[in-house]
Amino acid sequence: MTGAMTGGEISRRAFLKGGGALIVGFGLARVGLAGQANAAPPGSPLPIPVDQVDSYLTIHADNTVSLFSSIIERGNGTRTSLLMIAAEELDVGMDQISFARLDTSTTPFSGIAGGSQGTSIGGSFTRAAAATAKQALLGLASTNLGVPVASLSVDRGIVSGGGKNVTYGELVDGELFDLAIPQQVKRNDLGVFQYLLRPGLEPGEAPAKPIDQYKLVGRPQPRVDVPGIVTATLTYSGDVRLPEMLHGRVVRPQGQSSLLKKRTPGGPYGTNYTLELLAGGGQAVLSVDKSSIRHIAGARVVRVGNFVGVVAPDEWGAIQAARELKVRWEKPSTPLPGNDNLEKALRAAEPGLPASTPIPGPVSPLLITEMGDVETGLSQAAKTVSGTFRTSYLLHGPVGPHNAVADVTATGATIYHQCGPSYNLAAQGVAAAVGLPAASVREISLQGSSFYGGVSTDQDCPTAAAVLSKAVGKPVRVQFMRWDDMGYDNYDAAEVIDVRAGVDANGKLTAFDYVAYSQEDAAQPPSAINTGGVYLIPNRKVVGNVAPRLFMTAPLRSPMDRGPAFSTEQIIDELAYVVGSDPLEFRRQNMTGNDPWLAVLEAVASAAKWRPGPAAAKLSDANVVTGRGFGFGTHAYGGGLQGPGLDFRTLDPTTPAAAIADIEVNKKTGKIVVKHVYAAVAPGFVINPARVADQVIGTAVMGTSQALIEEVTFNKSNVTSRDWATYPSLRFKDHPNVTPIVIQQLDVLPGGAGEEPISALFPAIANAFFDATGVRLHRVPMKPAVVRDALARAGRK
Amino acid sequence: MATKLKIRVNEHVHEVSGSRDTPLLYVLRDELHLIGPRFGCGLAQCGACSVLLDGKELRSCVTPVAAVAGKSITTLEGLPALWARKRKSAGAAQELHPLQQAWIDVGVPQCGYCQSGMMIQAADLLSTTKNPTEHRIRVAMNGHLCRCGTYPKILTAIKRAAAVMAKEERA
Repeated sequence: MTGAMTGGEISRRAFLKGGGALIVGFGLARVGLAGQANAAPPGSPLPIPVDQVDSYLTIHADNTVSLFSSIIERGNGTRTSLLMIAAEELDVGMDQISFARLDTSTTPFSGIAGGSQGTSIGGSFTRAAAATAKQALLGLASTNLGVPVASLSVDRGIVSGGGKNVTYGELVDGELFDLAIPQQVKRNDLGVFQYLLRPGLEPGEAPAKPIDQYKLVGRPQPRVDVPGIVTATLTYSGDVRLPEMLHGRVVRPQGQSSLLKKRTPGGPYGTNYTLELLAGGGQAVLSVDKSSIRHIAGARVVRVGNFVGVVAPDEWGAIQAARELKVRWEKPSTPLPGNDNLEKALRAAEPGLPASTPIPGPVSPLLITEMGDVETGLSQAAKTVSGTFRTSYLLHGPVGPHNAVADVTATGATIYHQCGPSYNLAAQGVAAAVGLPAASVREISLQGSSFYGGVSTDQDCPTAAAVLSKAVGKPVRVQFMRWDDMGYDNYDAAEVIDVRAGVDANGKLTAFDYVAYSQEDAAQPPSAINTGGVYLIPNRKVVGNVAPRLFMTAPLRSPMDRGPAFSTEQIIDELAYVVGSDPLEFRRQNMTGNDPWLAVLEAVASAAKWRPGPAAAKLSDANVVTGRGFGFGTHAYGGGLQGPGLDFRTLDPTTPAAAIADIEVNKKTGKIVVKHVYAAVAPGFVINPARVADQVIGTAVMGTSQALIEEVTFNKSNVTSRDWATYPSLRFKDHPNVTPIVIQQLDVLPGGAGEEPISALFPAIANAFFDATGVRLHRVPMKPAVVRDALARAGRK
Repeated sequence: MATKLKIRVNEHVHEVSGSRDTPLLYVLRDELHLIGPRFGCGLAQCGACSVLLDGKELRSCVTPVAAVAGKSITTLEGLPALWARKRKSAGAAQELHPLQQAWIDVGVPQCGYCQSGMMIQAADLLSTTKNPTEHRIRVAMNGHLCRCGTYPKILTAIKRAAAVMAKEERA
């Protein structure tokens, strides 16, 4: 079978001792682990103790190591970085260590693969476990060899001392460590905020290895999973097939309708919203004509409330049945505003609407930052500028829509899919949907098509498969169709932003006033850094207003950073322009020295050979013109910790990013082509510089796509962007060449590196457009119609 | 019922169980358990499902299996053998196709979901164009979507593979 899964039950202890037989079969005993007393209580979604070495790694007789982590590989190379961290601490080779499959019945919670935290925080768990294991192994070796620990050396898992050798495998001899990890004992109760406080060990923090002894970490390493990807030998979630498995599809209107009518304080559906979303996003089923698919062999309709699905023995049969089944739906009762009225809909923010940040409680309007008095600051300014900016709803848009296999029995369920950033979340959704205790649903995660954030499909798809499996009594695989993914994603929220700012006669910023309107309910309020936090501004105020919810939203790679950076960094550029300054020099004059933000600025300026001077100095009447622009951006992940007067940089290691974009504009067609991007990040201590460079390249291309052409569209009833024709994504022909710059800072904690350049690129492109044309763009995507309109308004067409 | 349809995939003949209108993709994945070609859109918009049909790139998600009878299909799994035949080294231990090796050497994939289709399209390109220019590569690859942003590295890898293949052919 393609999925390489075999039957048979095996306990974790047997697995640990057995050296890697793949486990499957529901009912796997969650027993046998040492330190069971520290395990979460029955029914907890986190069954594996987080403070035990044995939860994280197993040393086998052949001197190889299996590593366990809840951090999934989403294409960023994170799992390779975690292997590097463990191999470094243990002094084994990369060829001696590999990951066990992420399975909630065998894998401890050890951070989430999101919010720029996978390597930084996930790595701290892994480092603490490996460093603790290493100390224990050295102790065993000292006894075994009769040599003091200080006289031992380790290479490739072989401990040497006094002229003798012993391997880790021989020392462990099939036993468990049965050993607590001190750091993780004291931080065992992992609340959502405690894991932000970095629960393990940082690079070089004793008993972890001193940084100057590193052999692997900090040096470029290839991704361990690439050969499997390139030779079609790595099993993706979509490749899993179980015996007796049927194929299923969901039937619903193609494109979700408005959720406005479902809105209630505290969230529309509570924790069990996925089945409702599956059920047409609020449109009720009026009738289902089962006879309409009678001609399709083996096809069967499953209806649970407003949920309608089909199953068939073969995939094509299921697809045809879903397509041909006649279902009548109620009309959406609450209209969507339509794209053209989005700004008005967002401005209808209501005081008191919940913001749904990780800390419950905040309601609209949210005061993010206030220093000094902006009105006073504006009155002191020699020159002021202002602007209103708008971003659009964006799709996560994996190339492969989500897929899942669910096997539901009377006593439990197993789901196989690519889990989202939050471990065990889908299992909880499935449990609620099929009426099982949360602890009886096992979630196995395999590599999948990356979806760049939190979506809903990663819960909806296994939920659909589980509802179908329960109904037919067999395993069911659901592959979402293209329209499922695009029509029912939890989009990244659109924003409307008003900014006013002033500068004095000496070119110093005096005031910055930022007011945003967005329905955002899953990500943090506008980041305090992307809204002028980089600069020295004596009077600054940042406010977020919560607008009525049109759709469910979820974080998309660099969530709630695009609008802030797009608006703020254009306003800063405009201030530089009105005082006749070079955009970079203007920024330097308004920043503190010795700032990592200056490091990324200088890095891109140097790489791009930036020639100082005011923007838009060489405007041309030619139809095709070129320009160059700069922008800062980041992703600040401690959203819930924001508040008035808080300096983010002291709370969270935030990764500064800077970008310079070289663009070409065709004034007649309105098409912008980004020819080259120079992008720099300073993520602190970089575990794997080559893979961070990949992330800079990837985010530069993705950011270009989002900034230029991506936009969820909807009419007055439903979402209308449901394929790659109606939701365009940057194609090969138009991609920029990218010069990635990764700044290594050995004395700074590891930060995120998978998202930051995206927000920097939005204003870099817009500022390049101004440089090329002398016209500001206030709306993303900066698609041809937006460009033509802006040029026409400015009389420059 | 008529005799069962037969298709030739990676030089093996397979008897198709599904109906004649089943898209080739589902036959490859569900009957032959080949995991190189993948479902991306079902609309021939993204190229995740691409295979070679007599050496030319084809979208298997919209091609009825009956349409490929009597022709030769190659998936990602078949690229090493295709390269071995081209070098007339059949029977010898198969090494990776230069494109696969370049993908590894350059470290192209991020999530990797689209990369099978990318390598298939590149194999089509390099079978007809030796040492293509950057512009030629950009145009040839334009129908294939990557959301992770690996295009720049794909460009590098194709140039690298092209150089290796040109050298092999001179040898």
